[in-house]
Amino acid sequence: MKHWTERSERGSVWLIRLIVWLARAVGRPLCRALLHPIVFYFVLTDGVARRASTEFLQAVNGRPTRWIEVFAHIYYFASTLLDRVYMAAGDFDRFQVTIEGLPLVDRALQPGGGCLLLGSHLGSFDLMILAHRALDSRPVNVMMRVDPRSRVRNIAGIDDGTLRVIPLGQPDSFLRAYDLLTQGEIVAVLADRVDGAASLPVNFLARGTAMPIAPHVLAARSGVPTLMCFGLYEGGNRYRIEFVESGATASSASRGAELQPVVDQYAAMLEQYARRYPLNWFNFYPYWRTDGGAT
Amino acid sequence: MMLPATASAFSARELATLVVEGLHLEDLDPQQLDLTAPLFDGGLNLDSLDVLEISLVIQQRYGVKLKADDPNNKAIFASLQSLADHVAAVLSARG
Repeated sequence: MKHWTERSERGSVWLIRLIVWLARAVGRPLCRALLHPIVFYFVLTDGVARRASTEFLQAVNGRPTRWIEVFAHIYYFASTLLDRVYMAAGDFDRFQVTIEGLPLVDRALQPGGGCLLLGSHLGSFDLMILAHRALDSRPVNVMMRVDPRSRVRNIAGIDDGTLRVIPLGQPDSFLRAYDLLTQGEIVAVLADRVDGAASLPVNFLARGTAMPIAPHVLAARSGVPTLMCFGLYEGGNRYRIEFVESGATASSASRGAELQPVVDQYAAMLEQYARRYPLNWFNFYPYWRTDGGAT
Repeated sequence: MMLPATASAFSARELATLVVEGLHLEDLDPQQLDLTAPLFDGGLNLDSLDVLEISLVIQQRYGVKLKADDPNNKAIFASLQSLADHVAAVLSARG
């Protein structure tokens, strides 16, 4: 599904570029007003994102999607893009951030072990900047693709220096994550997109898709507890970081289909939060068409 | 350069068998594997998660810990042969 994520990212490059420019040129209230015509135009012209949004909202609402809902959905996405510019510049004071479940992280770290945070594209993983602040002095590392061709991060001026990043796609990415976890650190990884890697079939919003197994294998091998982590936008200037228990980690030697229960657990929890915060679903590509992704 | 003695103690073929078993690559014959084929992109087409699995198997079997922060990782993980050479070198340095 790699080509889909890349294509939809390419499609939104001008959107991101425009928003970043605006954020720097004028104040946030005016920017948010200007987002309306910009998002309107984006919805009209980007068929991939529009269809993906329509499909997701139909699945989550159980009824046909109205045009205005697609608009609201993309508007939420655009709002977080705008705010990321401020966050990247270290301007956090303008936001009201609620943090839930921090004691769960501390409990997970208690025995001197690490903790794996399972993220998703429900809300923005880049809001790990916020989570990072929430986690304060706790050692947190974020696994993410650092693709020089992916211009989004560059355009948005997101400074990876504020986060300790484990770049994905290198031979030792997972070895690095394993080492850090077993040294008692926190590692965060996205677990809802397959991107060509090994996966298992799951039901998500009553439709079949596939989700990757690698994050769950990492948890199993390092024997650390897992938590789910969401960075959610609640409208206005309100953000919400939630750490949630996602159930037991798979036993240390589990592989392949033995990981089905933990992948199912993850999918079920993601679904629960997707129902609660539907406009935070930022997978703007055909999420359910992952034929052939399963192994 | 330095390997004739240690190479016999730890052969790349032995590592191939270990990898095929460890990763459950049932459709591959370790005796037929090209030891110099690249592990990634073409060749064996392994990924970063496989590297973790291989490291854990090697650690379990030989007590050699492969480190994520080793600056030579690219060369070490180039092929089964280079990986075997590295493990053999660590074992022989240990005496």
